[in-house]
Amino acid sequence: MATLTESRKNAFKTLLNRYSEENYFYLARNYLGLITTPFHKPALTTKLCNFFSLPEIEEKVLSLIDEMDQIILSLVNIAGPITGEDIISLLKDRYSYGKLVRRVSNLQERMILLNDGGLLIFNPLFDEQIRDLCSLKPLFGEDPSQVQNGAYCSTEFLRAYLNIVDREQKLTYKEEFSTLFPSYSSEQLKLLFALLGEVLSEQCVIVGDKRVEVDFEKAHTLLALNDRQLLCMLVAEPFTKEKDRSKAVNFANNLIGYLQKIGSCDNLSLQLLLKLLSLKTGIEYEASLLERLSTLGVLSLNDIWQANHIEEESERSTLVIDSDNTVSYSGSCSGDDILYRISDLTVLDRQTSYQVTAQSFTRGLDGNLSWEKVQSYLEENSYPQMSESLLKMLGITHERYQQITIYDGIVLVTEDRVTRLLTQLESIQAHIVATVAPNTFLMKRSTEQAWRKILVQSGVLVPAKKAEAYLEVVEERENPNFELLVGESMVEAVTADIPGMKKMQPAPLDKSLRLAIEVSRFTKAEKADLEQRFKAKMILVKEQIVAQVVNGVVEAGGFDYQGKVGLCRNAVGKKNIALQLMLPEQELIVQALEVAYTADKEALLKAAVMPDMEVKIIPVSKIFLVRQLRYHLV
Amino acid sequence: MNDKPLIVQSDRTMLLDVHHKDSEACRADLVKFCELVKSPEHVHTYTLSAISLWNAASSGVKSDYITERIQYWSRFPVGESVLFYVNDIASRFGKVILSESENPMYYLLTIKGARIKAEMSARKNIAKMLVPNDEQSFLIEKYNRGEIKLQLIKLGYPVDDRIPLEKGIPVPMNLREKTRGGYKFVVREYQKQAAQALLGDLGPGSGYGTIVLPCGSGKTVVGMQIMSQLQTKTLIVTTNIAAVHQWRDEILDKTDLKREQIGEYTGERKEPREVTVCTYQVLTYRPDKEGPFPHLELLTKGEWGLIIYDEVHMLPAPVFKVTAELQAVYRVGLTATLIREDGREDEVFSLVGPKRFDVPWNELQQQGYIAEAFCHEIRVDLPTEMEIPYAVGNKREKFRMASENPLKLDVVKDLVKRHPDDFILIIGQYISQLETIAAMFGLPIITGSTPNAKREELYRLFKEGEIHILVVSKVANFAIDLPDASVAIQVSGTFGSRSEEAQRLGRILRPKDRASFFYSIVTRYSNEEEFAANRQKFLAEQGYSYEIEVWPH
Repeated sequence: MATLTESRKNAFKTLLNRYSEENYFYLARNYLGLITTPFHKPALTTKLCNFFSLPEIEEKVLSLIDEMDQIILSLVNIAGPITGEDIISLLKDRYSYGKLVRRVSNLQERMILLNDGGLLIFNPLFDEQIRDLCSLKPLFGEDPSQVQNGAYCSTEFLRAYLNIVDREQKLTYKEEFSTLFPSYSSEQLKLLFALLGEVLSEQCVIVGDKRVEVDFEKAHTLLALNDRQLLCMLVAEPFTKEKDRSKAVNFANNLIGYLQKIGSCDNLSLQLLLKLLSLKTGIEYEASLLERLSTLGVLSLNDIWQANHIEEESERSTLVIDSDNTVSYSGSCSGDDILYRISDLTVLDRQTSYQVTAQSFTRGLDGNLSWEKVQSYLEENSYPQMSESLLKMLGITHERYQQITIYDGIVLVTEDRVTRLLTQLESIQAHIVATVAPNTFLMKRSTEQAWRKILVQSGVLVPAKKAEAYLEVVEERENPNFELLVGESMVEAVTADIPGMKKMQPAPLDKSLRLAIEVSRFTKAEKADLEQRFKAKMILVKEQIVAQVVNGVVEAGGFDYQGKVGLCRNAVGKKNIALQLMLPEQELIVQALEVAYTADKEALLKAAVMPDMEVKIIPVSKIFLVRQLRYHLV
Repeated sequence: MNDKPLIVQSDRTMLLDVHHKDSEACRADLVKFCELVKSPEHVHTYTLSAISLWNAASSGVKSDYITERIQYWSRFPVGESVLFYVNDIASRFGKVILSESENPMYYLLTIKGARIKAEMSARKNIAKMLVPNDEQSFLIEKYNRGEIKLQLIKLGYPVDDRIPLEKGIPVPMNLREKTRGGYKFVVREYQKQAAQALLGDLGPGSGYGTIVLPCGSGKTVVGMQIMSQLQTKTLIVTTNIAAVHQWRDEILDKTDLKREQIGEYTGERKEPREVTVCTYQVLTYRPDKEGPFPHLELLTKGEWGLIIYDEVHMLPAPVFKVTAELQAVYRVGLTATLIREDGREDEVFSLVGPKRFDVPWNELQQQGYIAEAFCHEIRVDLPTEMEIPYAVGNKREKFRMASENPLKLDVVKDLVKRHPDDFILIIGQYISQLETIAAMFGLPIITGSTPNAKREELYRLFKEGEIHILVVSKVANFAIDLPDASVAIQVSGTFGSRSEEAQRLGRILRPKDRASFFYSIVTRYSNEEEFAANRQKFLAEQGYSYEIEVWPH
């Protein structure tokens, strides 16, 4: 039993003192018995606080929590302060509206939930103990299981994807790629390629239309995220209007955290989680989110939704460079790792492999990587030792690469061999505007593709890019959201810290209390009132069994026409009172607006039907049961 | 993660860390149910395939054992899909059983499961071979034994062939302890293991298959070991006459068979004997394009107890078909490089038999059973005057020009100087280039047009140390045993052929008291570089790395 701190007691008292007089005294009279005037309200509040601070009362209150209470409380635990209407709205697929209204109200009557400015929160006196009782199990299905080891969009996947885009210079998915990603289904790959293509183009990580290029600076920023953060970013991306970007990331982070804890759930439970977290984080829930989660591999659908295990950060092992120039490692590379820029992916799996070839290395050079950087990268990261033959091969390729430099697409500065080709090859003469100096040629910009092709066919390794110093920026596209989005995504992982699988077994109602009510010498109305409060789990100790009517008549039905009319009249205009109406074929929860009479003296109830508050006029004679519900305890 | 040597990938490949202290023990388990895919320096790749699992099942290795071993050796938890695959695929073995029937004209094909039976009947190419028998079985004509097995493997159901192979006409023979040449002769342990892996207990499911061993590691001895265990009439099919003579000489040297018991069946001589050595060429010879193959009958009607397909990766298409009809005969395929450019490796496995034994090249090198070899790629410029013709040539012309680059001759000259005491083979693709080299240095040359007698003579002189350098065309790519050759200079090759590169290296891998050197001369800045990179792939996967040298112009 936790020792109650003064601050908790003060919080309790503060909240209670904000209640309306009617509700305050309703609760006070129930728990403290008869209240005689004159009274001192602060003393009453202290008395109530002391009452609920008693260990046996706390134990009793908690022992009476049943499974549906637990569902509502667990929901509050996840969502945080929440309105009664939102609780009812979230659970409306599971329970009838009337039942939900009754149960949410009842938790307030039992002082397990308190109202804080319209939002329901746990009673600060039992806060920790209630949280301990909360569970994911009743909320998200009876049979949750462990997360599975399914394929998802990890940073290593993103790295592999960018490697392919860089190589192919296209965003199109090809069926042959599936062999590179054996743990992914072909269908998922197709969707992932499309999704990443769209998102990364939008964020200008990939630029260009027909022939695309990777902006490696941006890519490195993105690859510096861990798996969880990357997924947060990708899940949050559709919601990232400037103002709610951090909310969207927070939503995604929470969602992944809860899914990791839940493991698996049915569709209804998943919808509940999404709506609940949308509410919690202030994000507008979109139906397309589910599809995105599935594409990204956060979830897989195998009869039920199954969450995939998102790896904790695992540092990349040393690179094993084999004699066939295959470079393999396990774990995740750091954001600025350059292997994927100088090699071709051969497999992404438990052990990931890339193969370094002259062509792939040339691509790296085209992407502005320097030979020195590649060399030192390979030397620093290799195990057991650096492959000398690979280094040699790359060195020779680099030397060849340097034989020609293209400035601004028109000036070629070459070495002797290429100069010989340029001066002697007939087919290229038409593309030379002038020989500026020995080994320097002015080439036609308009036929650049043609002369490049001729040079390549002649055995010249032509750089794909123009030399940087002379780069003319024709069009600059920027997405200011990118840095912000990535920055916001660098969040600490949220872990769902509520127990996963607790099942409630509420204590039965205390027979001795019922007996005490039965044997008391109270009036019939007093006994009925006590019996009703006892059933509502509001009577916890014998001291509460005193001769008084706290609620008055709360129910009238059958031939008690006047009783029904009386209840309706009594509820008119009271915001905290709802009426449960049992009609021949439906049950309605209403707020009474007015009771009027026809010329034949028949009573008509004008009421707003909750939750939509549609106004209806209902003849009281058609109602076979009216029950009064305390709806708002505030 | 735990300290184990194996990483199991989701595509069912297994990566073995060869530097791990337990890698040998792990490998010993893997070879029972996996295929070795590549074995470079640090990480060897094995794969679980349907064939390897069925092969394991036919040898009595249960799926429970396989999954237990995989999980035991794996560094990370093994994916469910891999375990499911093992159980699913292995469970298919034994669902279709081929056995003797009461009717001597037919075999009995028993099928366990109505679904499999229905699936078989629905396939036209299978259904046409099935003669209805009862609810659970069909009869099949005896000559369809190979074909039905081939088709059912394609369908995903291996046939559990329980018909013992036919014992051929007995031919008593023993391996010698001392060769006729007077040297001590011992069959090496891995050679014994290879033979044992193939023959097993000689019961159903054994006695046929393919053995993959590196060049120079003594596949011929494995063949002779099998012959000595079966003691039966044997046909050996090999790639060329020189190889025929080598087999003949080896058998004479290392077994107690007599000269008259060993026959040669070639274009030159046709003398079928108790042990006959022939060429693929003679078997597939036909006088006209549409006509029959007159010598294929040697294969089908020779009443062989054992057929050895040397260099089985060279098995020509007509022999495939006949091999399908020879399922009752003990048979073995020998090769170092089971790579077929036509992609028919699977058919070799299903007709000759699955891979029964394979060993990484670098392992035999470490044990000293093949020579340590250093590979170099030497890049040489094109002469200036050829740059423009090269630039305007088409792809084929470019390759030819690059291959025949005259500056390669300077490199050859220099390399020969570098190895004054070695026995050197200069190997090339283009006869004119080889003739130029031979003429320039005054060297003997063997090409396709060199008469066999002359070839034999030159090989003999080389073996006996009379000549140190021999220029050879692709006729020497395969099956030529020149034990003392320690340097090979490749001046040109067949485009990107990986097996050719490996086989050429193989010519210098016989163990000897010195290291071997393989030089591949490639024209710089030409498409020959790309082809060379492709040619080197197989060897790179066996752990060989090429040191690149740029030849100063």
